[in-house]
Amino acid sequence: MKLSTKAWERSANIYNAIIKHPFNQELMQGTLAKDKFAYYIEQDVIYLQDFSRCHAIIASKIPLEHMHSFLKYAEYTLIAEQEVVHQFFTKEFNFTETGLITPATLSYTSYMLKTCLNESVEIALAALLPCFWVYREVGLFIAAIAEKNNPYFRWIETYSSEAFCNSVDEAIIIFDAMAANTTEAVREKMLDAFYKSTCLEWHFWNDSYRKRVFDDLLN
Amino acid sequence: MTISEEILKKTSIQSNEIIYSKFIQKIRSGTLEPDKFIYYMIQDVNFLKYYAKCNAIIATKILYEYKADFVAYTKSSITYIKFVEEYFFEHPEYQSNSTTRATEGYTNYLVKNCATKPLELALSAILACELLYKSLGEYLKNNSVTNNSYEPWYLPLSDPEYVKGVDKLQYIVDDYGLAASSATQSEMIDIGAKGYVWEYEFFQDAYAKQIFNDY
Repeated sequence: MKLSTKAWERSANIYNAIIKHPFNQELMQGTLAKDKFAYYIEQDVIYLQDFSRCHAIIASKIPLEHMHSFLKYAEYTLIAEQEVVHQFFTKEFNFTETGLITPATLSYTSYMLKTCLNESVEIALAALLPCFWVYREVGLFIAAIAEKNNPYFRWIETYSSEAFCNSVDEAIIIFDAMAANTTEAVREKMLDAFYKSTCLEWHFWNDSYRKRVFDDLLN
Repeated sequence: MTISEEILKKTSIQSNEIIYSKFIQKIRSGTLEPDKFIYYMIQDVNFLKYYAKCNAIIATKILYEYKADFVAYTKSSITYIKFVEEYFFEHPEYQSNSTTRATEGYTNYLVKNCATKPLELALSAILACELLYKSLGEYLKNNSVTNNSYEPWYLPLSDPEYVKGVDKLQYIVDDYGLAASSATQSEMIDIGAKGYVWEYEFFQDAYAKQIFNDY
């Protein structure tokens, strides 16, 4: 069995919880409160800055044949997602920044950076892959049901697009190729990292939905 | 005001929340449920691994003139670390890989800051833990019930060598802060303050026996 298949199977329960989460259910129905979506976008901007940096870190370590893919992901993340999607929504809905950060945003970005800097490139890959993969699956799931007049259609379109889906397929292929060439011990750590990041994905949506604030002890 | 004074001022609420948390108050009265203490110790072992890594990262970067003081600080918590090691040596059955959200979040936060940020910010990141534990040590030594079964845990935190070590770290952070730009000083205060929030969450999660992948 490919390691990617194993990784996804181990995280299946979390993915199901993500799909069923009120954030994504309401996004799908087009009823998600704008302030919750705005807060999520604000967190995502913070997240994508470090996500992009992590891809650059991986690009600096990964075998040459895969390096350009990761430089491309680093650039795509910043330009296509942050500048296009987030700027679109900020302008379209007149969002204003709160300047706040959720516990999940801080945890997840710290986890990714720590892993990319301290662990082998295979484990770093495993820590980043869930974001791509989960977003593709969520995007496709929602796209199949959401109406065209859904106010969040631009977001749905981005994460269900052919270009994005192809990028995810490419990332999974690289993940499996690297997994095939490493030790069993590292493969286990790859599975663990993938699982942890998938958990953090759930927390990211949950914290955004609940508008949690990191240093608000009563929240 | 020095950087450490600014951090302490900014985190006075968090500090009080920790001191008056159920975990610390039950330690004080000697009534903390053993399973909660075990779970806290499991988290602490995990935390200390990454904390040691952070100290190592800082040690590679710190200016030569501070090296002696920094080494003295890292060695000052030896009594506490010995307690932790003996605790699990005597009770190997307690060992577990279970982590909380706060353990994961805090350790990742510390390593990330030590590995990616300038030295001043790395120093600020680790300061919160030491300032807090020094204050907990003093509080518990002066306010706990007598014949408290948790004495072996909190007495090392008021050990004169440990207190001296924390003071050395505080001095180093403040000295670096004096030489830093105002933008860096602000970031030092922010990173140190966030450490206090993580400390609060760490105790809360340990008391609740929270599990990282409990979604």
